[in-house]
Amino acid sequence: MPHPTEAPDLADRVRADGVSALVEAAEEIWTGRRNNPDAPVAGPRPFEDAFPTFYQFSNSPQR
Amino acid sequence: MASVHRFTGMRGIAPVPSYVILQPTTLCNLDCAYCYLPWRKDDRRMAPAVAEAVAQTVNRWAAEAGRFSVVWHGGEPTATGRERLVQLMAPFQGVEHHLQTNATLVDDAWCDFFQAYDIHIGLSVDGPRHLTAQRVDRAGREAYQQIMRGTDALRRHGVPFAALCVVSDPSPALARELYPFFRELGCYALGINIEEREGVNTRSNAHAEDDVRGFWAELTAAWLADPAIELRDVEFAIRYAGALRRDEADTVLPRQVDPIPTIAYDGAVVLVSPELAGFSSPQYGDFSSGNVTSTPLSQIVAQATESRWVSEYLRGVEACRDSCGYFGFCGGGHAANRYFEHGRFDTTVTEHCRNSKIRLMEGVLDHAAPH
Ligand code: SF4
Repeated sequence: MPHPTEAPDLADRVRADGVSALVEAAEEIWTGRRNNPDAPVAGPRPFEDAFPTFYQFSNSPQR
Repeated sequence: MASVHRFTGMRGIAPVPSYVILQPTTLCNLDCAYCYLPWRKDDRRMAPAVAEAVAQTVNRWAAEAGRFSVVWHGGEPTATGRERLVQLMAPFQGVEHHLQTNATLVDDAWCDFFQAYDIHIGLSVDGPRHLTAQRVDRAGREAYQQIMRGTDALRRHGVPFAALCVVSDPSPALARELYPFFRELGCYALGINIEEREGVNTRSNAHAEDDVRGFWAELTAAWLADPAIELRDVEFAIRYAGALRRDEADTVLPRQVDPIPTIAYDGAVVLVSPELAGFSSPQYGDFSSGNVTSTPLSQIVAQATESRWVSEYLRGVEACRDSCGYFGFCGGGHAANRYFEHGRFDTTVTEHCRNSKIRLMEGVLDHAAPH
């Protein structure tokens, strides 16, 4: 069985300051979209809106 | 690895999908170099009776769900013609219709049609002309001009569209070229598919790790500088990183694998992996789990794990859960990639998951915190 050789501990890696800044920047972008329904991107929404075939990458409500 | 066993999602097959994929025709008017579809030269059309049989189950699912999508995916769905598409769509109630197109046949009349039926459009285009050169017609002529004409029509009519871009040779320089192109194109969302070795496309999809990570890192930079496009893959990776930081990583993936029924033109149903529709193998047969003309779709889905390959795939997902630090982000990869790369379904790492899951996550993190 092949084994992922590239697997670091992601949980550690995401603790870096730079990642915190990235997540904050993205969350700001998502909030901005939500506040501006006329913007090219209407707001945070399920990826299925644009890509119903994007299976396994889903932020639709969890079941 | 400490984090490996925490993930509880993607266990077994969900009894109800969130969407179905229908193939109104096998025909595609293009002949792209990387295409995986085996019957794309033939016009094998879905009969209205097949769509009616699908709708019998789907309408019930849609009534019970918040939202439910029917995705028309070919071949090239517009090659079916509007009249036939209307016939095929007619039995569905309470669903969202989506259509994935190469746009070469899209004109004013198609745009009116998309608006009249509120159809969500996905456009397949790979970037500027020289990058879209693999999209050619049967005579080998580039389809780029036709694709752009169709895209102009969508913009002129104000039809929103998402773009899907196949990347054959990922690199940081390519990312810097692609993002502005799609920004200009006017899509509201962009998904990147690094070319997969699938179906009748047997070209290698192995790439140097640095190139792929650099590609995703540069895309992240481009998006942050000008985030007007919803950048599917990168945004999902950031979402996951945020969840992991909050110790909520186990809430990101669905609880169960979506069965994603793909209904071929003749009513045959392939579950879990749309890319396997139309294929067969000596070990697994034709991958189909039944046919809607003889068995209700709900029953076919309920019996999903009776298929040998589906249960083998679920074992592969469990192997991923037990061995891979990216499982909470990836959910165990796609069945078709395992099959086309390894010839079986219970394996773990594929070139596809390296390029599109592992290096995606690493590239996004490289941008934020180089190491
Ligand atoms: S498919 Fe690849 S990235 Fe996804 S969980 Fe399995 S080994 Fe990990």
